[in-house]
Amino acid sequence: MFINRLTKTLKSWTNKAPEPTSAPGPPKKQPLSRNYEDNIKKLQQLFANCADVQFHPFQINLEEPVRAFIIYATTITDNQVISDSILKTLLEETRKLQQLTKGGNANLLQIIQDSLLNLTETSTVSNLDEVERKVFAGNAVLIIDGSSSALAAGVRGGENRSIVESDTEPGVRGPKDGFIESIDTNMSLIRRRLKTSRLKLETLEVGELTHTKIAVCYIQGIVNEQLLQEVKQRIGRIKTDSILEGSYIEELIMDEQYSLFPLVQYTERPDKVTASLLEGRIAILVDNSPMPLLIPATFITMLQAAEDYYHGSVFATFTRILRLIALNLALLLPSVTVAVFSFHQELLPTHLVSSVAGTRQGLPLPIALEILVIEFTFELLREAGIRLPKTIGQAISTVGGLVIGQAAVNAGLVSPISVIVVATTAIASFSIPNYDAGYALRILRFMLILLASFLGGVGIMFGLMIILIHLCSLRSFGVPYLIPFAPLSLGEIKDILVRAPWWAMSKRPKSFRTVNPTRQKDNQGPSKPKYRRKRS
Amino acid sequence: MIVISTAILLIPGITAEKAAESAWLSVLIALAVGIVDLMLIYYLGRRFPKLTLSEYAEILLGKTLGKVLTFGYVLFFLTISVLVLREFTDFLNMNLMPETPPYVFQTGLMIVAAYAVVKGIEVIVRVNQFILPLFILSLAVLLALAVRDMDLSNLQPFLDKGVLSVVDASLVPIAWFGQIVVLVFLFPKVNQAEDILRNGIFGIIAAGILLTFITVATLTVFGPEYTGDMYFAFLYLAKYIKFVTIQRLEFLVIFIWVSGIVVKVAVMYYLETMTLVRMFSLQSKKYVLLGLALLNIILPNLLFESPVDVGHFLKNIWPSIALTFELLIPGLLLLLTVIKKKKVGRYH
Repeated sequence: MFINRLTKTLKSWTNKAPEPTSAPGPPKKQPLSRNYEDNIKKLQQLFANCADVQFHPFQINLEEPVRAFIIYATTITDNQVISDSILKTLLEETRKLQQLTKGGNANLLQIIQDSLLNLTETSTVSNLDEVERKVFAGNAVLIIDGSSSALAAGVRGGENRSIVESDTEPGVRGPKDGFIESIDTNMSLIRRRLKTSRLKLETLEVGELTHTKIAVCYIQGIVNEQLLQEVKQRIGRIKTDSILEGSYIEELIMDEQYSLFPLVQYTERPDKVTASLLEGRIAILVDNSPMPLLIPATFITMLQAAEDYYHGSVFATFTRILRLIALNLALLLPSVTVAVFSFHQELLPTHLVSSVAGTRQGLPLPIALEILVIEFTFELLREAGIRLPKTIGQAISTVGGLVIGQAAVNAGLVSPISVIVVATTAIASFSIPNYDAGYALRILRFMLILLASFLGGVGIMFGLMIILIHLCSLRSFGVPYLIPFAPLSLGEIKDILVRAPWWAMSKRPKSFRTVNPTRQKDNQGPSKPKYRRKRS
Repeated sequence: MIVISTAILLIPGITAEKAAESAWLSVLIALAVGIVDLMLIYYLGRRFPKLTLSEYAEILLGKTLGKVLTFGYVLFFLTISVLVLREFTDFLNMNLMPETPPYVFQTGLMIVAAYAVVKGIEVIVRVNQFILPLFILSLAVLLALAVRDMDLSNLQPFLDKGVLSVVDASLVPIAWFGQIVVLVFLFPKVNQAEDILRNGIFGIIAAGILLTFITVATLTVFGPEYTGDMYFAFLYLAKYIKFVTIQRLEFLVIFIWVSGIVVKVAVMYYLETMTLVRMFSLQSKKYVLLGLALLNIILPNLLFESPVDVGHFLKNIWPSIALTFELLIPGLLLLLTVIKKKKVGRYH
């Protein structure tokens, strides 16, 4: 309630801010004129002080020479292609051009596009706005005298990171390629895995200044149409000047604004995206972001790793159960420790009581405060480790973890038990594949420690119930967040708590309301060969 | 589920006192009555599938009488939630944290319940769905561990106090099973109304069997004399279990039980709030929510002096109130619809 009111006030403040004045320069929607000088003047005004935009005037040598110029942004185009495929052709292939224009050069541009340029990606544009967009999308735009439209040819170039293994989601077995910042490369990584026309990649642009290219990917015939419409509608509603990362989109289309839990998943792995598409989910690729969004997301998707599907089903099941335990440890271990030590000492076995009591003798802080302090120090260390260069990061962990931890225990400031508890919690929280889910756990952990220090185990239960109620109320694009558990569907457990072998998963999960639930033929399990070798 | 959570802890003690060795039979009787009750509610609900009891009571009885009846139900639900809260705090004060003042627990619980009520009945049901498997699993583990200490001779002699005492003892469990009467207020919210009967009967039977097992377990472990004296017999069962290094299992019971209590209070709280809001056609439920929370925190400590009072109330007064609201009124309403031959279609 308070937060709502706060945002309302904030909104009313921001609404009072003056509307941003329109950008200087000629009005955008202005069409190109037939006049060469006029065009050049307007465009030079438009691209004034843009050091990377190059104007290259030249003449096309027909019987009557025609003046022309091309504009391109040098930094994001391939200069080799411009000179080889455009300039060279236009300047040197005069004979061919003369032949082609025998019937008059009224539609010279069309002739050049159709019969001369050996580039695959060409289109015509007719106003300044489009010229601007094309130039910054990596096109060379050709404008010739006497034509009111221009020819844009895709000559994209410039620097891209090469495809490397994902840093955030590394794995032992399975494909090693990871997404990069270029949306085209990312689309190709998905397309390579799904060679079907049913994989749709719908692109659109969002952001009035960034013109960020966004691709909505889904598999027709598997994805639920209603879900798709909802996603498209929500993206269509976005009116902003900039999209720098997928997370901008994520926050603008999420169901619940102030939830700690991630309602949209992201991944750096193309194989994970492909598998999700095959389950009837939708991926949103955002240019300049190596992390496509996956929607809808459910709680359990946060606990699954792509590698689960590449290892044997028994081992994967073991890992999943391990992760589930880790989740509980990461959330509960410190608070349960606080509750047991300060309220329910009788829970400890007798021999442990004496040893624990011995280590806690003469400590200055009560256990709750002690654990809070160590947790806080640990959070500091983690934050420092992330921001620092990798080499120094290691030094930090040595100093922080080993030196301070050891020294604090020796100095009698904290008990070794609390250090062990916090360290175990940290390790458990690292074993959860989704980083955002880790965030939620970190914050909730603090909340639970406080509750445990007030009301002991009952306080923890209250806290857990609040979390559970919250989780039950969450929806990600209409899909209940806790779906295979609440609402309960037992059939889905085969891919949640356990990872059944592939031949046993002939149905897609129902969670994402796919319209085509059958993945493969039933009963493809291995069977013993019918013919046995005869004894010789 | 609503039924199980509190019943588990209290029923063995209360029933054992009256029926001793045949206590488990009373649970089975209650089970049968529970099914009859469910059918009653189901057929009543089928006649007005889009209305809650408060709405069709006004159609059947006229405006004033209908409102009085609805208000009666609100009080009834309030009594249940107050009782549950009181039991909850007594339980915690007696077994876990004797020094914490009761209203601290009650306030905490009401905050959690209020959050659930704000989120709506669908969320409450989902929470319930999530907890239920854990609940059953932990009970099954406990019962399995208790098998070692069971002594079946404690169940004999069978029916030595006569059939009547068994029937008498079954009144309390009947009152607990009868709490499915909340369905008459939730009927329009149920998606598959046709399945209510089947699923409901299945649920009641499952709960009944579970309760029977628990009663049998406590009886066979402790014998009828002790069980009758114990206030929270099942908890002592959990305390009693020692399986190699696994012991002190009562904490498992307590914590799982807390979650069940939260759901139950949330359901009652929801019904109180929504019925009042609808009755007086209020715009916002904020103040009703707050007022009821305060009532729920104050009343448990005001109405009962000690846990003994609660036990007395539950044994002697509660069954008659509960049965009126759970069996008698729905029954009479059903009779009235049959007599008046209200057409079903008109109120859709």
